[in-house]
Amino acid sequence: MATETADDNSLYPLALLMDELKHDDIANRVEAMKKLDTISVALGPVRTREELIPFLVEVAQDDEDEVFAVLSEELGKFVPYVGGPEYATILLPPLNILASTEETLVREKAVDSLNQIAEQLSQEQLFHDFIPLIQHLADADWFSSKVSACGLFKAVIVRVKDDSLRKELLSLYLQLIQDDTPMVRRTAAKNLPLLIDLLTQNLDLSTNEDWDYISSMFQKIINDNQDSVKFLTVNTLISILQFFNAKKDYSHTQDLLESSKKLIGDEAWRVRYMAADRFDDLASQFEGHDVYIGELVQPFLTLCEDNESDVRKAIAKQLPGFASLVKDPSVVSNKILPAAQSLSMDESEIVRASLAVTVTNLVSLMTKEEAIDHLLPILLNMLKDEFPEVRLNIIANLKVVNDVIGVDLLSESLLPAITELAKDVNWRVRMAIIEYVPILAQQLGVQFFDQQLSDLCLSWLWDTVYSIREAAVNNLKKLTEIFGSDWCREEIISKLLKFDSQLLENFVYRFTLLAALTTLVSVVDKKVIAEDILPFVSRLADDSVPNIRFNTAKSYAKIVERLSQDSNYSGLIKHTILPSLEKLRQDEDFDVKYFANQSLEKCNITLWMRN
Amino acid sequence: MDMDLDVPMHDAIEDQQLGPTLDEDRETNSADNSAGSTNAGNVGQTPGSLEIDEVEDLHDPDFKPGSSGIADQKSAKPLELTNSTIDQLDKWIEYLSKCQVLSEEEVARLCKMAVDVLQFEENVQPINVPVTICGDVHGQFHDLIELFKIGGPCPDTNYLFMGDYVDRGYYSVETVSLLVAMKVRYPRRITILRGNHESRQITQVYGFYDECLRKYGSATVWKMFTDLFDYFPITALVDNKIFCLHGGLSPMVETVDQVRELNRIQEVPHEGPMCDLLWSDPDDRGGWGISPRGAGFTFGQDISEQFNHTNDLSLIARAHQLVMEGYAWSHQQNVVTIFSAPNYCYRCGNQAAIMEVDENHNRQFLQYEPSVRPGEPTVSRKTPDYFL
Amino acid sequence: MERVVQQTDYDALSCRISAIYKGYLPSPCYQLAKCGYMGYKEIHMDYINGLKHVSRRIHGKVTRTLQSSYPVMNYGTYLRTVSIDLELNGILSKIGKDQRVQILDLGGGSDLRMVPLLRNYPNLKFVDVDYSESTKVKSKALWETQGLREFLKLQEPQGDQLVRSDRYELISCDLNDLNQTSVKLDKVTDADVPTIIITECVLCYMTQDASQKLIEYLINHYKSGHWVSYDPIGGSSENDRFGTIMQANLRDSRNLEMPTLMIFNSKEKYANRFAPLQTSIQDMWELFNKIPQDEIKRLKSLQFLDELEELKVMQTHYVFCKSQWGNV
Repeated sequence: MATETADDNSLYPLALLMDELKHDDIANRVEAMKKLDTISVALGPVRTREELIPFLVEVAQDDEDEVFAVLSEELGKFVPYVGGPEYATILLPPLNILASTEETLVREKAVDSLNQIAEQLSQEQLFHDFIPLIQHLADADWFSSKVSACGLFKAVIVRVKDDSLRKELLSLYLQLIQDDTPMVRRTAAKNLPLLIDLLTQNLDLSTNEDWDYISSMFQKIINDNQDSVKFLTVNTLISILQFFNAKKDYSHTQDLLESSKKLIGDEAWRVRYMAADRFDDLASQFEGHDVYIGELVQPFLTLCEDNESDVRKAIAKQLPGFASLVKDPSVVSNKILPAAQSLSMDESEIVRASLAVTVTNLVSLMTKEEAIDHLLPILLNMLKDEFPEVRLNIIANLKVVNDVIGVDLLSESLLPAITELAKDVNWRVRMAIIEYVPILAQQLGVQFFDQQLSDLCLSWLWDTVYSIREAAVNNLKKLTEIFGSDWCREEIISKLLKFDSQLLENFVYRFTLLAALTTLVSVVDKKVIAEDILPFVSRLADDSVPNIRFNTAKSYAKIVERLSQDSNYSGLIKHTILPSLEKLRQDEDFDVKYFANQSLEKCNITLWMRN
Repeated sequence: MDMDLDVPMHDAIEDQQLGPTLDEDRETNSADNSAGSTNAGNVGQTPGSLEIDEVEDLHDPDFKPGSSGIADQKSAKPLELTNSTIDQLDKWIEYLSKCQVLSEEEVARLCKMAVDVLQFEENVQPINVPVTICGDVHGQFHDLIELFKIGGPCPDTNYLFMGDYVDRGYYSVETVSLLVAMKVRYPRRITILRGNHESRQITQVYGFYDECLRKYGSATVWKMFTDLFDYFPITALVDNKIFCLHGGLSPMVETVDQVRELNRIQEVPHEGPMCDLLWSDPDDRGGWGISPRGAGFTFGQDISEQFNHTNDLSLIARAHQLVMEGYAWSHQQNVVTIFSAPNYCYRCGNQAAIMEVDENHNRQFLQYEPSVRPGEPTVSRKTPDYFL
Repeated sequence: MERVVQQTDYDALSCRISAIYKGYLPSPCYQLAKCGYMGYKEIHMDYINGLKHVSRRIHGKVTRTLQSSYPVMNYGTYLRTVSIDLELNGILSKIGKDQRVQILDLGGGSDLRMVPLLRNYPNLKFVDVDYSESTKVKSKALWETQGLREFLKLQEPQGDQLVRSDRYELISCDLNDLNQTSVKLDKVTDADVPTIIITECVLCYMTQDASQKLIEYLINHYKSGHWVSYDPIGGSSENDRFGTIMQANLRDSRNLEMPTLMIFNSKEKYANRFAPLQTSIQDMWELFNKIPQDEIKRLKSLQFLDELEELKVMQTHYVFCKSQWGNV
């Protein structure tokens, strides 16, 4: 083949592609598109430029979105195939068409590809081809072209060193910011923070005239009549503040604070939502200007009382963050805590659950007394919330509170909350609380735990859902790691082994006991294993249910791994465990035999290594 | 409206023309397509010229049962697992559990092994307690994983699945591959019966065929699995007391022994006892009735009672029908329906259930909801079917 | 939102083409014998071919699912199509051929009912109303299809105009904008002529306010008429999660909202939208159970309908509602 570089041979790939792209089944056309790179390699750069690309321009006029999507993506990787960056601009025409299609996915891929290509273009090419492409898209009648144009400025804005050209680009962007179609304005507004952030990264690039444009854009968005555009101002505002803070230029801070307050108090709830959702980020831009932070307190409190629950949900998460910016402790206790108090009793469960995620962090901003007097009542109340997620979120974030005020004061409310969650009908809620128990145990201490929680922990072993039983078993192991082997023997193992024989008639119970004891093997003293666990496990080696027997076999391997560390137990291993495993190896059930063999092998290796 | 005509109740067994065969189906279609042009209407140029690739045809020799070759070298004795095949299977199971598909070549190896496991199972596969009995899964892979979270992993828990692993859901390939791999790895711990969807014809209508084409680019994997389905056992008997099957009873089967005599290694026929076992439904009306499904029958409480009495059974457990609570008793606890696909077809809003039978024959139903798939936006942008 | 709703037309067309392809439609006993819908299949095939010339993209969307269409979808499409056709035909034959009558097909998109109806009822004027995106495509596709172009006696559109004829009008408008709608309808309809209004999966995409205003306006504006409507309902019983799941599915996968699905969630509540008119409503499952045995047998011969329970769940959540006002 290699020697046969005759013309009709190299013609073949293109003809094949053309054929495939005429196929009626879209799957064929998509597949053909995916092979575009192979075809262009076969054609070589010259013919790719002269034949393939013009053909693709045609294809890009009418096919289905799936085909377009692949084509858009492929073209982004095409710079080497057309002969390198110097020819890369030949890829712009087909992508120009694709960037104008109505399907968002296709457009986005085309824009991504264009941005990739732009990185490889020279100043000259940017100037001659790429920027005209942006202009062309931005000036189009059709909204999809303009939307795509919005996504292309970020590729060029900081690469343009010529001030007047950059000014021209910004003026074009200003035009998009005030387009007739909301979707265009929305996309432009969404991309604006990106452009500003790029200027922040190139701090000395932009001129005052550039900022006149950006300021006009900001004014346009903040006064847009569509909420869905206006609410994007919040991000833009943050980016602008970041720029001037980076420049250490505070001459605009007062104005920008006014803009912030305007957004926070906007009529449209989506705007207020956005302001609430990014409140910490916004407020932290004013850090160091205590007066300005002070001016944000009242707007903050207003958001906490917003009549839209989504807004309250968003602001409920910002409480500790904002409180830490407010240096005045009296503001925290007289203003912010009452706000937390009222949010904790909000009519919407979503708001309360959102508050529960962060509210405990407030404790780090106050003295122990303040926390006990003001924060604790809120937390106790939330622990009784009717909505499980609220309780769970509080419990999961209690550690900081315990560290400051200790657990005693909480325990009275904590216990009923835990018990309640432990019985929730949704097993994932039960799971969440089990997973929290070890952390709780650590904080509560052994005495409290034994009195209040150990029965609960054992009861989870008999849950109807397997995953809960499994989690309960692992929980016992974690607790033993905290409280020690003696505790485990007395509080757990003795209770486990005392379960009445009637329960043991059920295979699930035996299975779970076996799993629990086997899991504990790795964390209890060898004496406990030999005296308590092994006898029970050995009894199950004769169980009528094969599943129990092969798990006994697995259990033996774990026991031997521990006991073999101590030569005192070598007799026990030799005379009890290995014979039992030998017997299981002769079992009639294949799986029992298999796992007995596996275990024996493991035991032998362990024993061999010990000797 | 004319639709208000009184419809006569179904007359039993009068209508012998049960469901269509696929061949007839196709012929009707193609005849329609070519004959259309002479119809009145006078507005057409080339009617019926809709350009659609015809679904491959059963007349195509490549489409004949057995054409995949997975059963060409059947063993004369059940598959014996070696350590290397066990390692291989364990790797596959781990991989499949993450909802990833095996390669075509791996599927071929898996199916060949599975033939040598399944061909030796009985039409009425005997099963011991304890066992957890499950109904339709229908390609809802993530919900199958949820099922194992509720019921426990295989092999620790013994499972009996009563068919319908494929079709409708978006992950039929992953679902059936995982279950078959588990079956080969732990033949004594898991039993997989055949459902009416484990069939060449039904899977061409209900999605498995298309899914295989989409995921593998050819029908080869579909051919291998559908050839394998022919070997699935059709019923199971739990400790001689609970008769388990996908559909229901057949007027041609009075005793469990009669099921043992059937030749099951074939495509699900359109009529006859094997068809009925996979297609029938219990009904409030007594006796036998024509099934509205177009295959199988409906059977009344008298039939179930008689069957359980004759065969000394305590219960018939079956799947096949969507039930909103995940399980439903009928015929005064002579029959139970178990359905294990929650929010069936991603839109029906039903719960799912499994039935645990312990070694003392106590039964417990566990209900569950669709699995939560954190981070995964609704299944790959595909909208469940609605009328819009 | 507009585009998202407009795109549902391609789903409906796709379903209809699939039902035709599999042989569900046209129903010989209903659509052919009763309604006289000769050439039903050919009309649709022609249109689809025309559509291919207009946009390969839309054509692809519509024909994509043909092979793998589920029986439960084909049955549902059959039910909605046949129910509406029978009702229209019943009303039109009662009115007779001696007086003028007009049909407003609101949001009908690619519906091609006008072809057989205009052929069978020379006294009928048919007005299609939809978003401009839809009407543009329809106009081009009709024009591209020689048979339909000639049959409908379409006049060649100039520039951006849509095709039209003496008895057929295609109007671009947003039904949510009542001012615009009323002005545009006034130009082509006569308030004194008996009027049949069709809303097939249209009201469900509108807000409660907009849809109720539209209903109120039209039944007051036109002196007499019939309203035939088909829509999903969310379900009203306590454990019924169909509607909420449907809303969530459509929102997540397509950004499509059905604002009133859970408001008019029962037959009764849906029928009340047309109060005080004389209204009767049935869910599609009730209608399914009234199909005579012969027809059921024919349908069954087309595809295995495996899952009746699923069909029931689906069809009990769609309703067919007919109202009447004035003297018709």
